[in-house]
Amino acid sequence: MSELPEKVLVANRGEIAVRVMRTLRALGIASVAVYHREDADGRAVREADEAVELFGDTPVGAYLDVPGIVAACGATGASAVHPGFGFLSENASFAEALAEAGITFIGPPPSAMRSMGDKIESKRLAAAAGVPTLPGSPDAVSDVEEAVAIAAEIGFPVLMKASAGGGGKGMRIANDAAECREAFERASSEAAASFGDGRVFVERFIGRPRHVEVQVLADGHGTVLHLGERECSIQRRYQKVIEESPSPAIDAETRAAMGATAVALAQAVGYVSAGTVEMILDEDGSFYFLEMNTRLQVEHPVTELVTGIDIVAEQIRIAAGEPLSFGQDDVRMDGWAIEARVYAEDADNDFMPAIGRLGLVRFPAGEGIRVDHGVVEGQQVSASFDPMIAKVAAHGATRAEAIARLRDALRRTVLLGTVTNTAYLERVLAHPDFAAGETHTNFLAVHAEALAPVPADADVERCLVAAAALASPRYDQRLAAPEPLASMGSWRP
Amino acid sequence: MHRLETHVDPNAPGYRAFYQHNKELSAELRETLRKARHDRPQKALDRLAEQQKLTVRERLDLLLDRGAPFLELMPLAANRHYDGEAPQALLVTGIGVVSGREVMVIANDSSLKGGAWYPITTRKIVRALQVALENRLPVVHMLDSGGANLHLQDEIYSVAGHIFQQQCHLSAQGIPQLAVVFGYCTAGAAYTPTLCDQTIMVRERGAIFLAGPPLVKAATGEENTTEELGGADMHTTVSGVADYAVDSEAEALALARDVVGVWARRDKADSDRRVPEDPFHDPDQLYGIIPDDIKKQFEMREVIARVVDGSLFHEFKPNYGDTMVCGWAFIWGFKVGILGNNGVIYSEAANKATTFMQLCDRDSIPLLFLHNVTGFMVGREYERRGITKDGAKMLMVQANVTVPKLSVLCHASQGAGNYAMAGRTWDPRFVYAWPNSRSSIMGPEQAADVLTQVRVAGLKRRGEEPSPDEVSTIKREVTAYFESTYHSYYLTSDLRDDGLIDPIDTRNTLGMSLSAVLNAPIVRAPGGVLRI
Amino acid sequence: MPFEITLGDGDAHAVDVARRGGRATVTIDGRDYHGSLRPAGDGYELTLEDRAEPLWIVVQGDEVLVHAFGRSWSLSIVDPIERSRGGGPSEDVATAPMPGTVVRVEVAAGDEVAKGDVLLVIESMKMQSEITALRDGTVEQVFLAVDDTFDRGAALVALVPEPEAVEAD
Repeated sequence: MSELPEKVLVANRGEIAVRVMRTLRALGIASVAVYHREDADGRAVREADEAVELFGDTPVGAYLDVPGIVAACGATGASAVHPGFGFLSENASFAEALAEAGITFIGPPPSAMRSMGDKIESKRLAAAAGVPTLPGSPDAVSDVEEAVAIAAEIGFPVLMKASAGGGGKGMRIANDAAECREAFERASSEAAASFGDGRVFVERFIGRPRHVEVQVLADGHGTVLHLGERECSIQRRYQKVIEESPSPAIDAETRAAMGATAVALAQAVGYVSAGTVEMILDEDGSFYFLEMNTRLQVEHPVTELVTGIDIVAEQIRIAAGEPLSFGQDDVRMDGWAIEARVYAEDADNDFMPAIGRLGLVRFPAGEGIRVDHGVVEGQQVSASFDPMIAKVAAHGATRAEAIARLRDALRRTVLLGTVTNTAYLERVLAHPDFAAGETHTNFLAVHAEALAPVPADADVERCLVAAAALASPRYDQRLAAPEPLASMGSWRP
Repeated sequence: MHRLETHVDPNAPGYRAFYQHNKELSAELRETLRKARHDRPQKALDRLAEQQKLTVRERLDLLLDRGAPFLELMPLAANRHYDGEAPQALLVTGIGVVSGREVMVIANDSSLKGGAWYPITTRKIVRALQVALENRLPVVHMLDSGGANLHLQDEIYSVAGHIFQQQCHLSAQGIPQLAVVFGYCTAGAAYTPTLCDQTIMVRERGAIFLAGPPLVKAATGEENTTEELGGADMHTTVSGVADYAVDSEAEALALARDVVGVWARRDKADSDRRVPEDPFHDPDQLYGIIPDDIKKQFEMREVIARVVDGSLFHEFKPNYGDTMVCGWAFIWGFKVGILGNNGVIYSEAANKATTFMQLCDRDSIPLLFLHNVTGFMVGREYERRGITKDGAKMLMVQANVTVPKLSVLCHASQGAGNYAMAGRTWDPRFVYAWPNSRSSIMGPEQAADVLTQVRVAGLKRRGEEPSPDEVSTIKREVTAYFESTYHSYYLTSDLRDDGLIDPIDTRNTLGMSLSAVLNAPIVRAPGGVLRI
Repeated sequence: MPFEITLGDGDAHAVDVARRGGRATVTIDGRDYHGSLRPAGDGYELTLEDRAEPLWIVVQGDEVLVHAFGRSWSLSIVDPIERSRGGGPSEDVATAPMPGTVVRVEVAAGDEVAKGDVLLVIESMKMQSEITALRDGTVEQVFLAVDDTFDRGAALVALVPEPEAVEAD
């Protein structure tokens, strides 16, 4: 059995860097932060034992600076790197560069990253491992007529999807052959522009899909197990905003089937560390492989809340060569957890990213509440990075309790200085369809009208106006009338 | 201090009769004030609107801090003069709060006669400036007057110079003055804004010049527009006569609030203060305590109990000279020494008052005189005991104490009694009167008797014997003259007080007055307290 | 003159405040409300008549950000006097604050400028000063060229006049 590293560099920023450091501290491991100048006063830098500045053409570029990170490990003596998510977390070359320098990458082997990073390859591997895949083109299509033919075979509507894409870029829906031609051209050209790869998949389009994913853990000794599922159907712009575990849509049987499927895939690709198999769940209960994320997920806290397992800690132990200390039967899902992603964005205005200085920050605490955040009061929220400020999650005995706790927590999440989506998230959680578990990936679009903000009523507006007046130095306190005149009010003889 | 006991029975028939009588006086006062302040012919209001001018009341609302009191002074000036054509003497003045500072406001009312000065207007300005000077109150002049009413120039000119002289003295005392020019300030009136430290002018409407365009044309043939000759832009960019030019009255007043807000806030004179407390006994009962006839007596302690904090009073020499109630109390948290009449002044009462004033002077406690006095006691015994000597001591000490003095004419205030109790001619800082009060050199009946005796004696010297009819005619004439000139409404019209007040407003009026007087330091002259 | 306070993009309210001690009278659209704002917990407590609400506040200039009733709100405060001083023809034309010479011209007709952008640089009494745009807009005309001299008050750069703001009902 190997030793845990003494010092780990966290090659990330914001809330996930802070979250990783929390586990490092719990394991008695020293932490090294890397940061771009814009994050110099950030919470991650404050929480780390050491911090190394990185440079880049852009602020994001700094966190993609592989030689810089390798050098920082050398300079600080960090023997392992946790990549968080995003940035270099799914970059196989990065993992290889670290390995070359004798540094442990806390994540899967580069080979697994590579095979799962390619949509076509991953789908092929999944199918081979017996994972159901959406009916569609077995390979990426580069010819429009071929796409039309395949579409006709699998039946309309179909979805066109960039081979190298993600985040909704290069996605098109087609209801007939004519639309199919147009959609192919556009998806292909978008994909070519964005990713330098114009190849496109054609697959069956599911009208009311749910996004359900399975968390897997695999050690280096051949043990692979799953930690149940997360449902992440509440999305805007193809990005998750509310995630929960378990899913309100599946029963134990489906759970077991999905779990087994995910485990089989992980085993097929020789997976090690934590990973997530994303699937689409149709209304009839059938599920199809979407992709596998070879890293920690943003929404991992809901799994941690219901299973009690620290996924980051498991990643670190696995990377150190330790075998998993528990088996599949030891994994129990207790109660319900829901996470809401707090973004600096104007949910009422097409989710436009917002910026500003966080003049006041107060996060909720209490029974069943977990907040992952990386901000400090006074911090500038800039357009340089992803606009996610925090993740507020709630755990309850039942789904209803988790919803109630999360709504209350969001109401108590105070982030003044930029526009955030907390009120919007609370409205989503308050929607009767959400309470009924009627969640699908179109939820926010379908209910857009019901989720629009309601204007403040007169009483509330009066309170706010009065508060603003009383708080503003415009109404100079030094101008108060002297006593006892002030006590006489507006008396006139 | 101890809570004053009350012996008022609100169910007694006498109380109820008094109550009804005084409530009617109160209603009459309020209606008279309302008319004087607000009743203007529609034509006059239309003309203001046409000139895009606000009424003086609207201007005050924009100037004064909302939610803060305004103590209007001399509100019924000239109400019984000039056939009532100059309500309030076309001038509003009072102590208000602007940007948290107590200030004296002096504002022309141009709704009638172009806001022209009458003789009482002139005296009212002088008095307002005197109040500002004595109590170190910054002044905001709100100028919108056509100038002196030339038909009455004699009575105006004999007083008007004091206005500008007092402005200079205010400046010497370090008391700031601001002028807001809404209309023309022509000739002498040009000096009021110019003697102020800061001046705001409204474009197109405000002007300052020694002579307006017509007079200049007549004198030199030069032709000018008003704006060229003395407009806001010229004075604020060329001559430097004024400092700020604005486009509207609202803007002018908002800026005025800014200017006042920048002035220094001065500490008040050191005095005993405590947390204010409402009177324990209901002030509304004052209406049932004050008699319905000037000749009827009442207990002044019942009045004190309805004016002072918590109805708490520490009485001085309670068993001596009982027609003079002396003692200490707090009003709105300010400590005062109160002297109240319970009838005619005897030697003992005068002596007690004299010593009490010296005690208050020693401790820098302002004095409050509550008048119900028909004079000093007359008669052989009292003359032989030197009542005049005792009265003279009281006058001497009263005149020379350096603490601020306030007077309220609660009922009768006659003869030398008015002098001893710091009546208007003894220059107390403030004098107020209740509507039921009467003040004259002596009572009208006694005066009628005296005058009738004199006239009858004169007729007799010429060998004539007046008929009973003639005697009653003489008596009626004299009584009528007295009735008209000792009446509270006449006196206040002639500025013999700083305002008629509803008894219920006494406490607030005194609270604001005490707050004002403490803006000036109290400097005590050395001297011992005499036990006399 | 009361300030105008607007919640979000709602209607402006005329608001004044009179304080005494910890209490205040807030006048909103001519109606008086008694209230106070005191630190409480890690934020504030607002009382208004018989209501008491916990809230958090950040004042950023004339923007007041409030977290209350479970969400955040943004309110803006405008001094109508300041607003009336703005606007008008003075913002359309940049004029010379003193006599001098043009050192540099930074804009040409048709250029989009933002408030505060340098239009040109002048020299006077051996001192150089920047003439900046008083509002956002488009340059209509530059009246002078480098080395031109001018008197105090001379027009330097004109912006295309803005149409009068249309009053919304």
